[in-house]
Amino acid sequence: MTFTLINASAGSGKTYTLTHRIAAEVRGGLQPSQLIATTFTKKAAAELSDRVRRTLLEEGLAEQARATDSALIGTVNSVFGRLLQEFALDAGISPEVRTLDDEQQKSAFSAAIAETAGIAGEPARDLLARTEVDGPETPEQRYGEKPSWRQAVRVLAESARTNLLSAEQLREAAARSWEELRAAGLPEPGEDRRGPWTEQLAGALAGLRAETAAADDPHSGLAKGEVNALRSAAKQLPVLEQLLRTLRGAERAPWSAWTKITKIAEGKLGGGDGGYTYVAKIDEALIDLALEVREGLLANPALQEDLRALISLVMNTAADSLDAYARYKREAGLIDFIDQEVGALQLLRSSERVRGVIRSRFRLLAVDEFQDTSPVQLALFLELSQLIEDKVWVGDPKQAIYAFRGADPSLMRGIIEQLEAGDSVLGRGVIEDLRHSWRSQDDVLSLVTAIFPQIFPELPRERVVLEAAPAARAGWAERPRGGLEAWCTPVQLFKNGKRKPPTAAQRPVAVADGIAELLADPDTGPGDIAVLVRTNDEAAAVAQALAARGIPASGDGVPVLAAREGRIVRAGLAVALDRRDTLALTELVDLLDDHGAHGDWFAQLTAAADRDDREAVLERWWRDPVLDELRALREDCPELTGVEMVTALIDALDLPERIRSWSDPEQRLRTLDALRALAAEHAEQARAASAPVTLTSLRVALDGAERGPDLTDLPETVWVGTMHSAKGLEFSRVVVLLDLKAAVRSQTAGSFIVPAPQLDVTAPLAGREARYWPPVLPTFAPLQELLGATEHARRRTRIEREESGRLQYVALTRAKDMTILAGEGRAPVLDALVSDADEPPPLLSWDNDGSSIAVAGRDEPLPARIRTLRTEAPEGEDYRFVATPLAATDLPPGPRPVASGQAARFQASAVASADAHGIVGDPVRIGPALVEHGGQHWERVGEAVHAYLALPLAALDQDQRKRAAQRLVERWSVTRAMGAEALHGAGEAWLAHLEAAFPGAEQLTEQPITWWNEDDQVMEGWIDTLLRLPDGQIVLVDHKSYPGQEPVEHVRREYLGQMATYARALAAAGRAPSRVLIHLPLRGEVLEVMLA
Amino acid sequence: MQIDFGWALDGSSWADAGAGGSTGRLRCGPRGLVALLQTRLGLTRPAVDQAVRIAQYLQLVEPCAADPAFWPARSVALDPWSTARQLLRWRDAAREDGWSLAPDAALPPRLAALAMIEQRARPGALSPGAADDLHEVVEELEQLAAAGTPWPLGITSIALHEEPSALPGRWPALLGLLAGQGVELTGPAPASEHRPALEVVQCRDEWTAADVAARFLAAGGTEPLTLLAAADTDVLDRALHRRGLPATGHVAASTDRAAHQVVGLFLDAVTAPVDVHQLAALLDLRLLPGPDADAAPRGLFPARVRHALLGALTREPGIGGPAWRAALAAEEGAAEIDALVSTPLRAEDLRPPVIAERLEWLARRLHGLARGQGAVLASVLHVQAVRGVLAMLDPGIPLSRRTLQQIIDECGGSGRSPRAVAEVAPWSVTTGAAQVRADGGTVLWLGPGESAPSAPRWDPGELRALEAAGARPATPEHLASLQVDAALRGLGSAQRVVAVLPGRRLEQDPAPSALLALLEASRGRDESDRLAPQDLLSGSTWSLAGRTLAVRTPPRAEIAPPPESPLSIGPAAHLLPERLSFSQASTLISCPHHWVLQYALGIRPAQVAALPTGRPMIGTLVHAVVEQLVHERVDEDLGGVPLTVPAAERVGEVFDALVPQLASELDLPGHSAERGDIRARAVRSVRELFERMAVAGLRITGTESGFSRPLALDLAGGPRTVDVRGSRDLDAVDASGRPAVIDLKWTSSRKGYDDLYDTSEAIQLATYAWSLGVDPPPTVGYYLLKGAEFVAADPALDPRGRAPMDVEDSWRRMVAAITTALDDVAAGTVHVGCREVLEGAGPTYDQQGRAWSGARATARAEGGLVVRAYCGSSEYAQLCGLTGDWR
Ligand code: SF4
Repeated sequence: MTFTLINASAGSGKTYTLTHRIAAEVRGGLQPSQLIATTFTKKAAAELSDRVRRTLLEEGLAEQARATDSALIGTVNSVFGRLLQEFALDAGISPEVRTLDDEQQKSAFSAAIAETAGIAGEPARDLLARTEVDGPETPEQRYGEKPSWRQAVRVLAESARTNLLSAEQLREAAARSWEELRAAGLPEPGEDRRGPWTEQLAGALAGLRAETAAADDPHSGLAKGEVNALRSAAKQLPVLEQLLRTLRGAERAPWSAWTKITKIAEGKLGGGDGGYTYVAKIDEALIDLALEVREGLLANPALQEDLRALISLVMNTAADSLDAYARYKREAGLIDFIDQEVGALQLLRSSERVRGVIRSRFRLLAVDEFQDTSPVQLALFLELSQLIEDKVWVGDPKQAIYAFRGADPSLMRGIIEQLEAGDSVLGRGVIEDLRHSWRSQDDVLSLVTAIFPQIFPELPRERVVLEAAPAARAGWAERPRGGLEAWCTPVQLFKNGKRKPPTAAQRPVAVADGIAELLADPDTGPGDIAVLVRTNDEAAAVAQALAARGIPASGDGVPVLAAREGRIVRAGLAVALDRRDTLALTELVDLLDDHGAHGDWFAQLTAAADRDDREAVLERWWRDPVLDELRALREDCPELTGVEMVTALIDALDLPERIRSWSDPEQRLRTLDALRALAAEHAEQARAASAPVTLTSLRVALDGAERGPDLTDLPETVWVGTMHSAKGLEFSRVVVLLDLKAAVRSQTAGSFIVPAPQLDVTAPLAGREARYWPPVLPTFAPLQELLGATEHARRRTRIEREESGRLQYVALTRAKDMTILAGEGRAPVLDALVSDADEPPPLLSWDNDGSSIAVAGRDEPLPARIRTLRTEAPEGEDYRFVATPLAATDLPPGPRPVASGQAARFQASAVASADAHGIVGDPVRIGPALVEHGGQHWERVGEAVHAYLALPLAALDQDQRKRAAQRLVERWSVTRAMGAEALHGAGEAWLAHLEAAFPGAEQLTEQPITWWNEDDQVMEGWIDTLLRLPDGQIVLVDHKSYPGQEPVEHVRREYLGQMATYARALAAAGRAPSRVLIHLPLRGEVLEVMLA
Repeated sequence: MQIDFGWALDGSSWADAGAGGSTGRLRCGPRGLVALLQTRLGLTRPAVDQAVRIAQYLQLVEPCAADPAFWPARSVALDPWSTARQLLRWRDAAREDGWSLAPDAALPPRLAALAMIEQRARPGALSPGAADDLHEVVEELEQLAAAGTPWPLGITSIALHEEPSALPGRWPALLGLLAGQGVELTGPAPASEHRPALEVVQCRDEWTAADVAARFLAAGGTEPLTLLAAADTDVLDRALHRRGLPATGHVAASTDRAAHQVVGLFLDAVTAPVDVHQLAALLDLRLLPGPDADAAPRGLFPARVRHALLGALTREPGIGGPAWRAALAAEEGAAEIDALVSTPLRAEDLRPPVIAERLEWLARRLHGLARGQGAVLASVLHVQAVRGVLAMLDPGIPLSRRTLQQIIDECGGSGRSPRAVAEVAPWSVTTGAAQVRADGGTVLWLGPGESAPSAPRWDPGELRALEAAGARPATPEHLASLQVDAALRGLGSAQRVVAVLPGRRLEQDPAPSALLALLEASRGRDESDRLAPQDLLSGSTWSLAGRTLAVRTPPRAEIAPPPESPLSIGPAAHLLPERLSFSQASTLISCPHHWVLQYALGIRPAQVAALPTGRPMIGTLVHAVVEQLVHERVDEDLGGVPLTVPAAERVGEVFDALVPQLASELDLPGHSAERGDIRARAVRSVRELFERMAVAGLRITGTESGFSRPLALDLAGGPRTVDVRGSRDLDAVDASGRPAVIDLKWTSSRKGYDDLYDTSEAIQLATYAWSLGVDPPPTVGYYLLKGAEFVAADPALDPRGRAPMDVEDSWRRMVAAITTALDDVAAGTVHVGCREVLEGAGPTYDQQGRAWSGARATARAEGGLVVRAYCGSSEYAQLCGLTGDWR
C-alpha cells in the first residue's frame, strides 16, 4: 500500500507529473486496466488518457499504450457512474438508466414532488403568500416574481442527498433551524398588533387625503411651499392606498409590506442619514407608526409562527420529497449525478462482492484536481483507497473554486495532515510539493510571491510560492518578454474629492483599448491574450467591446438566430416543413442575395394587384433555381433525423460556400455546428422527457434557441471568460479585470449545511446537519443585523471570502509571460482578503503615471508598465486582421455539378428481369411436389429446402442425409408443413436428376461470387450451386422456392435478370456457365434458362 | 473456396476493387465464418430478433427471481426487461468465451446466476445467439471428427490474420477442427516493419475537414486510394456532391426518424391521461412525402382530419372542448381518432393483449398507407415486432410504461438513414481501419472515430472460474490489442496515410485517437506536427500530400441593411383594408410595414403543431372560467349577473371542468403542484373580480360580446368605410345605466397598462368603448387576472386614484393615426414603424426607452398616436431591417 499526495501549485507541471507517475507504475507491471483515474472535466479526462498513452509510447511501452483504453479514466461522475452501472445488479438498481443533466434534473424533481408538494402546500397557501414564496417555479425576475417555496425544497433536498442526510435527519433539523433562528433574531413573542397598525395607517392616510385635497382649493390660503409639499404628497398617496388595501387583506398580506412603512423609521425623521422615504409630509404623518412597527414587528407572534411553520413546511416537504423523487426516478429509469455518487458509495459500503471485485481488479487510484472533491466524493475515494493498493492524489488547495458545487477545500488540507501524521486509517503517506513553475516567467511569479503568502497565511510558504524551473528558464529566450502591467482609466473625481470609478459600460471599453495597445506590438497576436473576469455578463461586455474594435474574441458567438446563416437555416426548415410559410419564404428571398427577387421582393409583392397575383409571385419565388435543392429536400424530409435535416439544409442552401465571402467565416462555421448540436440536444432532451422527436418539434426548439456558438479555440482570438472557466488554461498575456469593490454578501437566508464541529476527513460526512432559514423580511435591518452576526452567517461569509481568494490565485497564475491588472489603482478584492477592516489598506497599489506596483509589507515595488486607457471607443482605430485563408474555394462559380448518384453496390436479385435476357424452357419433372399451392409456411419451407440442398449431399451417406433433413425441418419448424421425409426425398430427386443429366459432375454449393459491372458497381453474393462437368463446363443452378402454378412465367418475370447477372459475373471470374438451370424443389421441377 | 479470415474483418467487403469478378473467395471475420459453416453443416435456422430473445430470457429469469437469494432479484423486480437484457448480454459473452454455462458450486455470484437461469431452460426456450451458433458448429465438427465420417466443407484454405492461439473462446479449437477436416490454414504473415508516410491535418470543424478531404479527392492522383470513413460522412458527402463526386454514405442509423416514432407516439397518445402534445405530434407526424415536391407530406391521418384536429388543439389544448367538438362535426374521419383518445388505455392496466389490440388498429392504418411501402415499411415491421414480443409475455400481468417503452425501443431496429448510400467511386471505401487494403496506395482517413469495443468485463475471480470451466476469456488489454493490431495492419498496407480530423463535431471534441497516437509515435511525431488547413494553401494553390488544386478567394459580399424608412412603392390603394380588428389597427398604427406584410399581403408564418402552453394557455383558461361563471349567473330579470361573489367552490368546479378541454396538460402527472397554484390564484382572482365589480356597483351583462361596426374614414383618396370587428371580454352597467367595458389580461406586468390608461392611449379600451356606440362613452378598465388588480379610475376598483381615461380623445387620435397610416400606404409610402424610432437611438434599454417617449410626445402634440410595438424579436423584424446580421 502506498499513498502519495502531490501538492501541485498552479503551473507546476501537474499533468506531466501524474502521467509520468502512471507510466512508472506501468513500467513496474501495472496493467492499464488496473488503473482508475479521475479528473474534474471531460476534456481533462480525454487529455489525461491521451497523455498517458503518449507517455507510454515515448517510454517504449507500446503494448501497454495500445491498451490504454482499458483503463477507467474519466470525470468523477463518469467513473462512479460506470462503476454503478456495471454493478447495478449488485446495487439492486436497473442496469439501464438515463443520466439526467442539471436542467433535466430540475424538471424531474418538480414533477416527482408535484403531488407531495401540492398536498403539503394546499393548506399553507396563505402562509406562503405572507412569506412571499408562492411564486412560480421559474420566476420571471424582470417582473419581480419571486421563486416558489418548492425551489427551496429542491435545493434543500439536494444538499441532504449530497451530504447523506436522511429524511429523518431533515425533519429533526427543522426544529433546530427554527430554534436557532428564534434565538438569534427574534424577541419573546408579544402581541399581534397588525389590526391597530392598519387602522392607524388608515387614519393617517385619511388625514393626508383631506390635507392634500386642501391644496387644490384655491381659497385655502396656504403658502406656496405648503401647497407644493402637499401636491407631492398627493402624488405618492396612491401607493400607500394600495399598501393599505394589501395590509387589510391580513391573511395574505406579505410581512415585507410592513417594511415599506418601517423604512421611514430609518430615514431622516427616524435618525437615519438618508433623505425622506416618501416625502416630508407623508414621512411626518407616518413616523410614529413606523417607529412602533419597527419596534414591534419581530415580536409579532403571527410572524414568528409563520417563520416556524414555513421552516417546518419546507424541511418536512424536502424530507418527504426524498422518497417521492427516488420513486419517480426508479420508475422512469432515471438517475442524477448525486445518485451516481451516493449510489456508488452505498454500493462500495454494502456489497462484499463489489469490494472483492474492485480489490482484485484495480491497483492504482489516481485522483486529479483533488481539491475540488466534495465530501461524498472524498468518502468514495476513501472507500476505494482501502481496496486499491496504490494511491496518487494530486491537487492544490489554493485552486479550490467549486464550493458552490459542494467541493470543500478543507478536506484536502485535512487529508494532508492525516497523511503526515500517519495515525489514521489512511496510514502514512508521502506528501510531495512540486516546487517549480513550468509555466510562468519571473515577473508573473514575482507578483504571486508578493501577495499570496499573505492571503494564504495558514499554508507553508513553500506550498504557495514557486520558482521558475531551470529547464523552463532556458526556453524563455524564444518567448515574448515577460512583465507586469497595470491598467487604469483617467482619474475623475467626485465633488468631495473621492475618486469616481468608471461605469460598468466604460470598463470593457477601456480593456479593449488596452488590448488594442498590446496588439500594436507586432509580436503579439489576439491568440496570445486572455481576459479574465468574474461574471458571464462582464465577459459578454468585454467581448462586445472587443468586437466593436474589430478584435476577434472568444466566448459565446452571435445567437444562432441572429446570425445570417442561422436565419437561413431556420427559414429553410420552416419552408421545407410547410410551403404555406410565406413569411419564411420571403425571408429566404431577402437573405439569399442570388435569389431572383432579392432586393426587390417588397416591390414585387406590393405591386401584385390581388391575392391571385400575389400567389403567383410567391410561386415564382419558390421556383427560383436558388431553391432547387431545398425543393428537392422536401421529399426526403420525412425520413431524416433532425441533425441530418440541418446538415441537408446547410447544404441545400449552399451555406458553406456562401459563408466564404462573408465576414468571420470561422465563426459562422461554428454557428452551423451549433445548429446541428442544437438538433442533437433537442433529440436528447425530448427522449429524456419521453417527448416526440420530430422535425416539427425541432423547428419549435430552434425557434426558442437563444444561445450562440461556443467560439473557444478559434485561432487568433482573444480568450474572454470567467476566472472559473480559466482554470486549467494558460495564456501568454492575461488581463485580470479586478472588481472595483469587494462585495461581501450577508448570508442570512436559504438552506445550508452546518459542518461537524470537528472535521474528521476519514468520515467527511459525519456530523453534518441541514438548516433552512426563510428569506422573510430581507431588507428589515433589525432582523438582518442580528442574523448577520450569527455563527452560521459568519461562517458562510468566511467561506465565500476564502473562495474569492482562491479565485484570485487562479486568475493571477494563468499567465506565462505577462500579468495585467485592470483596476483603478488598487485591487479591493485582494485587500479584503488580508484584512477585515471596513476600509482595508491596499495590498497592491499603483498610480496612473507611475512605473511600478507597490505591495504592502514589501519595500521594493514591483516594476510594471502602467497604462491609462480611454473609456470611449475611438473612431476609426479598428484592429485589422487579415482575411482568413479559409475563404478560398476550389469550386467554380455557376450551377452545381450533378453527381451520378449511382449506388456502389447492387444485388443480383434486384436486377429487373427483361425478356431480352433470354427465354425459359419447359419444366422437367424430377420428383414429387413438396407442398400443394404454397401452404401456410411455404417461405420457411423454401428456406429449409435451400439449406438442405446447400449441403454436400453427394458426399454424405443416407444416414447423414436423413439426419440432416430431420434436423433442418425441426430448425425451420416445418415438420408439419413438409416433414423430413419429403425433404430427404427432394434431395434424392435432385441428386438423381444430376446423376442422370450430368453424370460425373462435381457439385459446388453456396459459392461466394463478386463482380464489378460496367458502371463499376459491385455485387457480392452467393450462388446456390455450380456444377463442374467432367469436360470442364460450368452449369449454374439456382434453387427457387416457388410453389405457384405458373413456373415458366414466374421465372421469366422474376429471375432472368438475376441469372443473367450471375452468368456475367461468372464469366468475368473466368467460369462462364454453359447452361443455367432453375430448380423448383417445391414443385419437383427443373427449368432451363437460355440466356441471350 | 479460399477464405481470408481476421478477427476484425466482419462486415468487410470481399470484392477487391478492380478485380473484375471472382468466385470462391471470401473475406470474413468470426461472424461470417460461423455463418458459412452453419450453411455447410446444415445448422441454419430462422433469424431471431434480439427483442424476442430478451423476452424469452425474461421468461427464464423471472421464476428465478422469485427467490430473493437469487443474486439479481432486486433488479429484476425493479426493471425486469433491462435486467434480463443485461443478464443475457453477460450470458452470451460468457458463451462467447467458451463457457458451457454448467452450474458448479464454486462459481462466483454472477456466473452462478447465469448458470442457474440456464439450468431452468427447456431446449428451445431461448433461441440461440451468435455464441451458441459457434458452440454448435464446434460441437458438430467434434462429433464428425470423433465419428471419423467425412463431411466435405468445401473450404480449401483459410488465410489467418492472427495466430489461432491469440483468439479468445473456442476459436483456436474451431480452427484446429477445420484443419482436421482438411482445411489448409496459412498465416499469419509476420508483422511488417513498413511504416506508411503520415500527414495529419487538424481542422476545427467538420466543414473545413470536409473541404480538405473533398479537395484531396477532387484533386485526383495516380496512386490507388482508399477512403477510410471512420467518422460520420454526412457533411463530407454534401461536400463531395457539391463537387460532383460520389458520396460515401457512412451515416449512422437512428431511431429519431418519423417511422420509428409512430409506435411510441401512438401508444402514448392512446394511454390515459392523454397528453395532447403527444397527440398533436402524432397528428402532425409526416411519414411519406406527398405525391410531388410541392404537395404536403402524408401522415397517419388524412390531411383534412389532421388539419381540423390540429387547428382545434392549437386553439384549445385539450379534448372535448368546443373547438374539438367543432372539428369532429366538420370532419367525419375525426371520429375514429376521438374514439381512440376518449377511451384511452389505462396506464396502470397495460396488459399485453390490450396493447396488442390497439396496435392492430395502427397496423391496419399503416398498411393502408401506401401499402406499407417506403419509410412506412419500417413502421409496419416495428408494429409487427412489438406485437410479436407482446404475444410472448404473460397476458395477465400489466406492463409498466417503462417496460413497454423498452420493448418498443428494442423492437425498433436501427432506422437506416436515407443518406446511407455509398455511391460508385473511383476510390475504395471502408469504415474500419482493420478493413483497409491499400496495397501500397494512399489512405485518406477521415476523423478518428474509433470506439473501444465494449465487451463485458469479467473480474479476476470470474476469469479464474471461467478458465477452470474450460473457457478462454480474453482480458480487456487482449481484446484491445487484437483490434489495434488489426487496424495497424490495415493502415500499414498503405504507402501513405493522410488523416483529416474535424476537431469538433456537434460542439463536442472527439476523443483523441489511440490509433493516430500510435501512428504518430511510430514516426516520432506528436500533435504539434499536425498541419492546419491554412497550411495547405499557398497563393492560389492548395496542396496536400502531392495532390494540388487551384483555388480562388471569392470577393467579399457586401451585405447592407434594407433602405431607410419610409419605403416607396407605387400607389397602392389596392392594399387598403375592408376590415380592421383591434390588433390589426394597432399593428397598422405601430408599423405600417408590418401591417402591409401581415395583413395586406398575407405574409405569415405557417401554423405549427406546437400547442399553446404556459402563460397563453392559462390566460385562455381563466378567461373561460370567467365567461362560464357569467353565463351561469346571468339573470334575465336583473339584466346581468347579481352583485354577489360566486362561491370559491363553484369557481373551482368550473376551473376543474374546463382544464381537460382548455389546458389538459395540467392534468398530467407531475403537474399537480402547478395546477394547484394556478387554481388557487384563479379562484382568488375571479372572486376578486366579481367582488370589486359588485362593490363598484357594476353589473356584468355579458362576456365575449362580438361586435362589428362600420367606421367611416376620411382618406385623402376619398371616404372609405371599414368594418371594425372584435369582441369585448366583459360588458357591464352601473346603477345609473352607464355601460362599462372591462378587458381581462393574464399578465405579470402592470406598468404597461397603467401607462396606457393614464396617457389615454389604451386604444384597445377606446375601440371597445366606441364599439358600443353610446354617448357619453362607457367607463373602461383593465382587469389583470394574474395579480387580481384593476387598472381603472373608479377607486372601488383601483385604489390608485387615477383620472379617468379620456376615451373619446383616445379614439379620435386612433382614427387620426389610422387615417394617416392608410393615406401613406395608398400613396405608396410605407413607414417602417419602430425602426424609424429606434434607429440611431443607441443600443441600451434606457436609450431606446427615451426614443420611444420622445416619439410618443411628438405624436401626441400633433394629435396623433404612437403604439409601441413589441415585434423586435418577431420574424417580421428581420424583413424590416430592425434586426439583422449586417456584419
Ligand atoms: S420590428 Fe420592424 S416590422 Fe416590427 S414593428 Fe419594428 S419596424 Fe415594424
